Order: sequence, then structure tokens, then C-alpha cells
Amino acid sequence: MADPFAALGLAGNIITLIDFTCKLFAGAHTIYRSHTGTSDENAVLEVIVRDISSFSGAIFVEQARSEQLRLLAAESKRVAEELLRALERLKVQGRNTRWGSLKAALREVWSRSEVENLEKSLSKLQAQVTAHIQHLMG
Amino acid sequence: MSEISVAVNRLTETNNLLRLDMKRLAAMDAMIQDILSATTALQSTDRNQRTSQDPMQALSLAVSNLGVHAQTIAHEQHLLSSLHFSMIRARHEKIEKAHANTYEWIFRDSVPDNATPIRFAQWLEAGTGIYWIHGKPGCGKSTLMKFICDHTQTRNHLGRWSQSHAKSLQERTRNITDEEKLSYEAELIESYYQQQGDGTQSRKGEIARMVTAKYFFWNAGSKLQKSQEGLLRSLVFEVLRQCPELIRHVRKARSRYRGFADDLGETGSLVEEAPWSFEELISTLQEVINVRSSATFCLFIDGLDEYKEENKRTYRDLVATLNRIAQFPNVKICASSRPWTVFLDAFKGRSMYSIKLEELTRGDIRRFVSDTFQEHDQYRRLKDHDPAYNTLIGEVARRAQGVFLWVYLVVKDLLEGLTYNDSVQTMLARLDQFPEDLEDFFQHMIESIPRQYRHQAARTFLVTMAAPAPLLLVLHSFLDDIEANPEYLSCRSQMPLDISELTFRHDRMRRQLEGRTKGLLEVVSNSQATEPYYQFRVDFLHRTVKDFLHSSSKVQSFMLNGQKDAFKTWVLVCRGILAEVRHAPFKTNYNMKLEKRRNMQNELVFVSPEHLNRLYGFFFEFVYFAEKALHGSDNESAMLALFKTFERASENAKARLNDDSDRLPEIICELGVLELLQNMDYDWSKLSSPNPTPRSLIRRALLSFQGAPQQQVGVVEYLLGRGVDPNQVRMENSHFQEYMAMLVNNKSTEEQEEYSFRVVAALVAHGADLSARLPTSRLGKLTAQDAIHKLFPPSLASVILPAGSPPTGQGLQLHPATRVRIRPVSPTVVQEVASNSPSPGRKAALWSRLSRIFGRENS
Repeated sequence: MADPFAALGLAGNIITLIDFTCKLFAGAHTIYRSHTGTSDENAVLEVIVRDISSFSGAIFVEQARSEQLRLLAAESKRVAEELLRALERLKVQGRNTRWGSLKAALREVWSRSEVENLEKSLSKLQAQVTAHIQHLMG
Repeated sequence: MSEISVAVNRLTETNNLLRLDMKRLAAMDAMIQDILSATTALQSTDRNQRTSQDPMQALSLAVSNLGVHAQTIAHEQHLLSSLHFSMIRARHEKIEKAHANTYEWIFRDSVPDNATPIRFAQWLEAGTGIYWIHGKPGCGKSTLMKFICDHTQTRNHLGRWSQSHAKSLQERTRNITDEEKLSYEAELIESYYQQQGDGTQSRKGEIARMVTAKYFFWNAGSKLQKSQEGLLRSLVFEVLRQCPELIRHVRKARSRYRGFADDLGETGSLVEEAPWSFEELISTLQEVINVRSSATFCLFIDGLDEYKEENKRTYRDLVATLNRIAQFPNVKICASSRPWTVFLDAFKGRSMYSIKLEELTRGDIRRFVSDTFQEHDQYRRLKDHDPAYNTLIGEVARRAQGVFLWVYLVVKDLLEGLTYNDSVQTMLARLDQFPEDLEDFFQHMIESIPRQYRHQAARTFLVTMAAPAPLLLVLHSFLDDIEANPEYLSCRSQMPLDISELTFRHDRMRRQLEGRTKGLLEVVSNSQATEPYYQFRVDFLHRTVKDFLHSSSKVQSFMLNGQKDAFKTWVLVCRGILAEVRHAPFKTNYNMKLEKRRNMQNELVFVSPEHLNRLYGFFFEFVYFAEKALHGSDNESAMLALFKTFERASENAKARLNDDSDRLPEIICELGVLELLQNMDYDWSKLSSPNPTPRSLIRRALLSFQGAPQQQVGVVEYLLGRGVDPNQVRMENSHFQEYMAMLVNNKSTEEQEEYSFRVVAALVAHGADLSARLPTSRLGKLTAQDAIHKLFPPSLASVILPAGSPPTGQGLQLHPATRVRIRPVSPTVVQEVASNSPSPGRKAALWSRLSRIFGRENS
């Protein structure tokens, strides 16, 4: 019995997660360095992991009113989980290299195709959620 | 229409219904535009080059803005709706507006012919506590109150009070507690605007500093209109409507009070608001006043004597409630009533702020009489011819003795005479005939009703007096038709009346009422109704008319002669309501596009709350009158047959409104009409299903204050017999827990105690969990078993409870067993109640034995 605004809010939270992740891919994580004021790359990773988890945690699948949105919510959480697992592995490796972007960093633990798959999933999700929002708005 | 625009429409409609500020909805439209442009931008970037703005971020921001903003509005509306009731403004609208240039003296020091100081303006600006306006029946108290509430001078004076209050508060901010309070207040407002999503700090200035709220008790109105609950609900509603930033705070306090998790409803879906208890209402009002200590609150409460004492709540309690609220330095109350001793003692002796209205209105009355005569062409012509007509004005004013209502009726009557060119002598002679006492005057009016109208007049009075709240004008016109032609209902199909027929009916009925009741009943228009069908109701001209009709033995015999069999009248009203439902303009406001999508997403259909409210209103009225018709008559089968027809008509109406609620059975349970419940076409298997219906029937029966307690018992038993589980949980608590908590929280009379015992016994017999803890905050965490010990004397408690279960709660106050003297209970009865006993025959025997136990020793 979730109300339509809760469903819209859910779609909004998915968009936020995707937007955030896309920006990290494109190199925005350098901002984190200046924000955290640390040169320790692992500390920066720590903050990124925390943020992704909280964005993903804000997505409550049960707020979906349609099967379509429920699938989108579940898929975005899955993508976030996958990314988080990779980042954890990266942290364990503990190499203190400065990456130009998250994409470059992921290449340390993932194959090229795995990175590309994630990117594809993200852009597909983005298009689908945008379309869904349009559908909700009419 | 999309899901969101349907939801936005619903918010708008509810906003209108609750008379809330529309500005916040306009903000929502802007947010929707933001989202649409962001999605468009985002989809075009796939093909074209990236724009300088970041459409993803814009979309994410816009979507969460709208989501948060809309949910805040929805939550606010939800809470306000739970306080709102349909007649909340009806009384205020009904009151006669003050005649031009009358009552202006209220803002002055005194009136020319009376030296008594008025001190009203002084009180508004610098006074404290309660200003009391008293006067005899019909002297114009309510009209004066309405005049005061609507007058700009009142606001101006109060504005000065508000300013000086703020100033003195600033001076005192050195004091730590005030500082804390102020910073808390600031934080509250801050969090509100953060939550609103627009984050503009500059809007802080819009927070209300001066709050006014009014309440008009109405003795002839619905139960709420004459209760303290109605008063408090209305005041809390008005205050929160003007201070929406406090709603979040109230919601949280509410869920704490009811023992829910703290973050109730902050995320996700809306839960049904629980009904407000008296204590909760008053503590909410106090809390709100306390939290907004920098704002000033002025409350106007009209007609304290119209309040109806019930559930041991007396006039003295009402006065105590007012004093509790008025003790805050930022609150003042202007109240009016008849000069009864209880009010004289409370207000007159203690304060210099009071006036006796009938002593101050001589000038007003003269002006009213003079102006009304002058407006009449014939009078002006006759007066020029013979100046003696002028003496008439002085004579009417002299005899009035401050009773405006008398003047109003006399002038109306005299003006009719003018049309026939009555001479001054004739008119003075007519004036002589009018009894100077108001009640005698009413009697005179009733006797002047022409003989051929008497039957219908008696019926109209009887129905209006019996109605739970004023009935629609169109209903009265159906009653005439059905009475004249018994075939009326069978030959008509279920079709909304077209507007020309409706206008014709309204017009005809209006004239007939005037002839039939001589203006003692009048047609009241409701400005909030959007459909003409619902716009007009029939109400008493004045409270004194209702009192007179109820108390005068002559009138009683007049009505009984006119209507030999009251039972037939109640059945007739039920048939009229059936016609009302058949011809109501029920419709949903969706467009054709939506219709096409209905199969896919059924819940999209938008239903106007107005139509649903009216349909539920018809349900209530039907059940109410059916109950009257069923009791004390031997013609039960005719009534039940009529009920089946009504049920079909209501199903049809519900289908037209896309309503799948159980409102009809709910109302039957609330009013406790077992015969109707037994005859309903209802899917009883719903009751025992693990997923409880949104509003369950047994809760309606258990928590209702509407029906007679002895009937409640029958309904509860019937539902339990149909398989309702007393331990079923809804909104955190089981039915049993909620009921026990209500018993513990409310004072009850001896009679109620007897029936509540029978209800508890029935619940326990059906397996209610005695170890369940009750959601009461005042008494700590009681178990149901403790509560039974507290509520009932040992001889009764031992009937329900298994052997050897003493109270466990510490410091538990036990029932003062001396209050009810009861004979010892036989062990077989104990055994039978304790065993889950259920053949109907045995049960009936059991109950009759239990009833015998309740026989008082002196009977």
C-alpha cells in the first residue's frame, strides 16, 4: 500500500545511486581526496564504500508499486553490492597507488569485460529508471 | 492521467476540503516541471552532445524534492483529516450575520445608555484569561461571537498583544529555560523547512506568530458538535492548520503516546490514524501552545451551554478544561454562554472581563427594527402619509427586552401585515397579541400553522428533532413524495436527478417548509458543498426552538396528533434516504484516458472525497433511523426488507464511486444494530482471514461511543461467533489490547461497567490473551489481567479469570468493590465462562444468568 510518492522517492534514490557511481567512474573520486584531506588512498576508499552503502541502503525495494520498479530497485542494489565487493578486495590489496578514476582502480581487481559489464549495467539502469520516472509522471 | 497526477489531484482535493494553504501545492507543480525537463534533457543527451548542466543530478534532486515535499504534505493532511469532521464549520456558517452597524460598541469603552465598562479591546491587547459574554436565550450571543471573530479590529488588537508578547519574551531570554525553549522552537522550524526540500531560510518569517481559532457548540448538531472532543479536535485542527511546522512534532508525540515506534510514518506508507482520545487531544493542545511559546493563541468558543454532558463529563469539567488551556501566558479565550450558575461561579466572580449582552443591545435593536421597516417600500409610503407609524419602531424595541430573536420574528410578521395596508392601530393591536415571552411566542407560531399543513408539519418537526445532524433539503422533498405515493420508490430507477428537477425540488420544499413550520425551521446553505444536491440542509432557526419543541407538552401532543405512529415515520425516513442514495450525483472525476488504463492498474481511479463522505453520511443516517424503526415495533420484517433494497442501492453507489470499503457494516457495528448485521450480504470469511481488512469491524464495535452499550454486546458476540480472533493484531495492538486500554483510560458509569464486563467476558471466552500488555502510557505497562482486576470487583473478575490469577502489577489500584454490590457468583457460571462454550442455546442461557448476577440488590 505504498503511496505513489514513495514509489517516486524510490526511483529518485535509484537515480542518486547511479549518478553517484557514474561520477566516480568518470573521475569524481579525486574530490574525495581533497574532502577527506588525506593522501591515504585506503581511507578515501573507505569513505567511498561507506557512501555507496548508504545510498544503496536508502533503496527500499518494498516501496515499489509495480513489478518493473521492483526489478529496477533490486538490480541497482545488486550492482552496488558487486561494486562494493570489488572495492573491499581493492582495500585488502592495500596498494597505495593514486588512480585517475574508479574505473582505473577497478582494473586492479577486475577484467576489462567485467568493468565494461558494470558500466553497461549502469547506463542501462539509468535509461530504464528515467523512462520509469517519465511513466510515473505521465 | 498518470499515477503521480492522480495522487497530486487527491492532495489538492483534500487540501481544499481541509481549507489548507494552496501555496505549498503550487511548489509541487514547479517540482514536477523540474523533473519533466530533467528527464527530457537526460534522454536527449544520449544522442546529442552533453549540456553544461548535469541532468542526472538535476533529476535526482528534483525527484527527491518532490517525493519529500509530497510526503510531508500527505502526512500533514493525514493527521489533519483525523481531526477534521464534516460539520466542523457548519454551525459557524449557519449563524445569522450581524445587522449593519450593530455590535460596533464591543470595541468601545461603553454604550451610550449604559455605563458598564466593556473592556473588550483592553482585554484583547493586554488582558489575560477568559473574557465571558453572557446573556439570555436569543439575545444574539452567537451573532456577536461571529462578528468578533470576523472583524479586522479584533485582529489589530490581537496583533498588538502578539507584539508585546514577543518583546517581553525577548527581554526574558536571559532566562535559561526560555532560551532553551526558543532554540528548540527554531530547530523545529528549521527541520520543517529542511524537510520541505526547498531549504529557503528566508521563509522563516512566514511562520505564524498569532494564531486564532474558533469553535461554535451546536446543541442541535451532531454528537461531536456538542462535545468536548469536538471542541478540542476543532481547536487542535485550527492551530495545526495555521502552524503546519508543528504537525511532524505532533505525529511523533502521538506515536510515542500510543506506544509505537518513534519513526512511525516517516518513511513509506501511511498508516491509519487511530481515533483521538480526550486526554490525548488536550495534551496535544497544551504541548503545541507550550512549544510555540513565542506565538500567541486567541480562542473563541461560543455556546458553552450548548455543550452536552456525557460520560460523566459535566459543565464543571468543561470549565476546568478551558481553565487548563487559558492558564498559559500566551493564550486567551473569549467564551459565550447563558448566565447559568456554573458559568457565573467560574467566570463572573473571578474576572472583570465579562458583559451581560441584553443590557447593551438596546441601540442595536432599535437600529435593526428601524432599518428593516425603512427597507420596506410600503412602510415608507404609509409613514409619509401617517407619522404615527414611527411609534411602531419604538414599541417593538421597548418590548424586546434584549431578545434579538423575538424582534426578528415579530418584525417579519408585522411586515407581512404591511403588505395588506394594515393601519397603525391594527399593527399595534397585532403587536399586543404577540406574547413577550419567547417560548409563548413559539407556541403562538405553532398554533398559527394552518390545519391542512399540520400533519406534514408535525412529521417535519419530528424528523428534524430525531436526526443525528441536520438532514438534506432534498430528503424532505423525497419524504413528501413517498408519503403521497407509496409506489414512488418502486417506479424509479437509480439515476442522478437532473439539475432542473433538483432546483424545482429545492424551491418547492423551501416554500413548503416556510408555510409548514412558520420559519421555525430554516434552510441552511453549506458553502463548501460543490454539488447543489448536497448544498442545503434543514435546521432549527435557533437553539431555543429546539429546546422549546423538546420541552413543551403542548407541542408534544401537537406532534403526536399529527403523527400517530412514530415508527412509521422512521421507516419513511429510511425510504427517503434510499431515494437520496438512488438519486445522488455520485461520480468519479477521472477522464477517459484513465478509464482505458483501469484494467491494468485498478487503484488509479480518483474518487472525490466529497461524494464518498456523502455516501457514508447516508449510510450513517439510514442505520441510525433503521435502529429507531426496529426497536419498539412489531414490523421488523418490513424494515429488514427495506434494508435489503438499501444494501443493493448502496452496492450500486459504491460501484459508481469505485469504493470497496466496508463502511456500511462498519457503521452498523459502530451503532450496534445487530438485526441489520445479521441480515447483511457480507463475506464473513473475511473476518477470520489472516490479513485483517483495513478497518476491521470488531474494532468499530469495540471502540465506538455511538451506540447504546447493551447493543454493543450483541454485535461483539456476533462477530466473535463469526470467527474474529480477539488477539488479531492491527496497528501494533490486538483488538483485545485496544479495548482493554480504552476501558482503563476512560471513566465509565455503572451501567457502562456492566456492559463492558460482558464484552470482556465474551472476548476472554473466545481466547483473548490475558497476559497481553496494554498500550497505556499513564499507568505503566499493565497486563490485560491486571486491568480486569482494576476495572471490576473481585466477584466479577474471578468469573472471567482462571482460578489463582492475582494481580501482578505493582501499586495497582484495585476496583473499589463497594461501588457495585453483587451477589456471590455460582461456580458453575465461572466454569461455563472459562470453558470455550459455544452452542448458541447454552450461550443465551449463560448470558441470562450473568444478567441475573448483575441484578442490583435493591431491585
